[in-house]
Amino acid sequence: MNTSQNKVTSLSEAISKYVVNGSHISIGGFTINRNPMAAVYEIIRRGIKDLHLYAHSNGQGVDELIGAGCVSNLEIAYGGNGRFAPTCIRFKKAAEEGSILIEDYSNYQMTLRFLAGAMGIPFLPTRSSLGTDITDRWGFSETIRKENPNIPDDKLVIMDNPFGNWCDVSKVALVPAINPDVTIIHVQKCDSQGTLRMEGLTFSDIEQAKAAKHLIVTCEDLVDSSELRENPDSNQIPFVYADAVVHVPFGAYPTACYRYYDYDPVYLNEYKEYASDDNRFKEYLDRCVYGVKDHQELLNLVGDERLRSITADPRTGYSTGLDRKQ
Amino acid sequence: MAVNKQMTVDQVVKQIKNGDTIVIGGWGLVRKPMGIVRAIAQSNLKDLTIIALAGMDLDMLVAAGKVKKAITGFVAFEGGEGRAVAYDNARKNGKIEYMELSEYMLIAGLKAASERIPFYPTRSGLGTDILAANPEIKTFKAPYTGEKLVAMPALRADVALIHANKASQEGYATIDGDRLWDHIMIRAADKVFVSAEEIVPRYELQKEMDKIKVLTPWVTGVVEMPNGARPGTLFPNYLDAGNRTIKAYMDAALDPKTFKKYLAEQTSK
Repeated sequence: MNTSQNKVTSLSEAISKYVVNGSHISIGGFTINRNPMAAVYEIIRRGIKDLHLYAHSNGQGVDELIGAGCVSNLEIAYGGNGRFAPTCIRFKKAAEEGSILIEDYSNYQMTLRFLAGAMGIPFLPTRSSLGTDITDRWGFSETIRKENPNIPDDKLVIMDNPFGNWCDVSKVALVPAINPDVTIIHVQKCDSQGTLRMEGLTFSDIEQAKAAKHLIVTCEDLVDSSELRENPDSNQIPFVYADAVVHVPFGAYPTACYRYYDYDPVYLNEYKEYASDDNRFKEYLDRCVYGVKDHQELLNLVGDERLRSITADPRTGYSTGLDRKQ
Repeated sequence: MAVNKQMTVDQVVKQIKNGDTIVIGGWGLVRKPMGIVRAIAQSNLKDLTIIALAGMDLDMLVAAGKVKKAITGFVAFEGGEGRAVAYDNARKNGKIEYMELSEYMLIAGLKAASERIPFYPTRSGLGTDILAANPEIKTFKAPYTGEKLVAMPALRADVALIHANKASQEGYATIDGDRLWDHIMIRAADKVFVSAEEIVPRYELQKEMDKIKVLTPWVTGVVEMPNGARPGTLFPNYLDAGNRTIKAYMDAALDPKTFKKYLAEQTSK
């Protein structure tokens, strides 16, 4: 619990303080929606290695962290970039080459694992995955699990129903809690103390934020607390969870931020091409990540015209005129 | 064509059977579906099991002799005259069975039922008499940590009743302010009935999307019932449940004749 009044800091300070080699981190968002991309790029620029990464069904953020060599272990339900890459390209390549260890859960199980972490209990029971090979096939072997005190001894535990056949089920799967060292999410509005408001779908961000030992929030708008207090039931996470609040306009770019901007189809199509080739991917990183000093410089590189083209329409919350096929 | 689920309160009562388990939404005196509760109190139904974070709802059904068993986290009216007279009386005289839990255990049991799993793990209840009083609740050694945890069994219900600010005929409903536990308990029941201050066209509800807490697939029937939470409160429509209305109930609750008259008066209001 962090009760400081003012947690506003720079992105580089927030990342250098809370993310180090070997950290267990989780990032919010879903496929190409509200990924904390500015923070992801900062992690890559700082050359952080051996991350144990948790995500629900994250796309671009996970793919770039893996592609840049920051990740050793990944626990995830789905890694996809919508129409640009139904399975993320660098993620897929790393899985095929065995260059990172991957543990696979169902979408619902990942949410439950973060929720268990948030609730402070060691696991939650579910029917999800029963009868599938998610229960039998383990990405992290028993040996790896026993040797590493930061990973639970079992991927999941199948338990007999202690109440006979109550609820018409004889067994349940118990999925272990996740308590990351740090969770990073990008949201629409946050105040300096860390009370925040997401607009539109929240994905698994609330559970991820509450499960973590530390929380970094990047936001489109750094707002006065009085603005958030006008409709307090629209604020999902109270300030006690946040450790760092960073004001980063377009902080989810090139992924979408509902009511602010859409994803950038030009960027994601180009990324797809560069990501498909090892050498060209290096070129991409050199130009768009290592070649810029911060997120604003990336936005400058992209240019105002492109940013204008993805601006959200106030009625629908996304860009209505966008050519998504380009 | 959307299904029209609008019905009368009598049609709701007809869909409830003797011996049913009914979970009632709201909290204390806040946003209770009192109109439907009164209709049940005046019906021929009997032997009901009531699950509630209870105020006058459970107490009224006990006073009317409808309740075989109560499953609660608390029973109180709040305010200056807080004692739930009929429940207290029936409990002391062995007229009803009861399962008294922590509020969280009650919600955990409904959460399990809503997720179609047999139990919810929790630390709530450990070290208290709740476990001794309710041997059907089990403890177990937790995988991963080895600690002792409570396995709160799923509390399944035949019927859920809630009150909302607005609903559409299809069964969407908005709740202003705190939704409390209603979004959990309505998914623990086979049939769900929603009373609302007003029934409005669906496009009206779409103007306040983020207040829609009840979705049509969960809902069996909707009833238009202005002042449906009185004599309790509904935010922001009416917040004036005072000691006087509570006292009027308490004065009537323990005498069958007076109580019948009280119910009839309340219903005609």
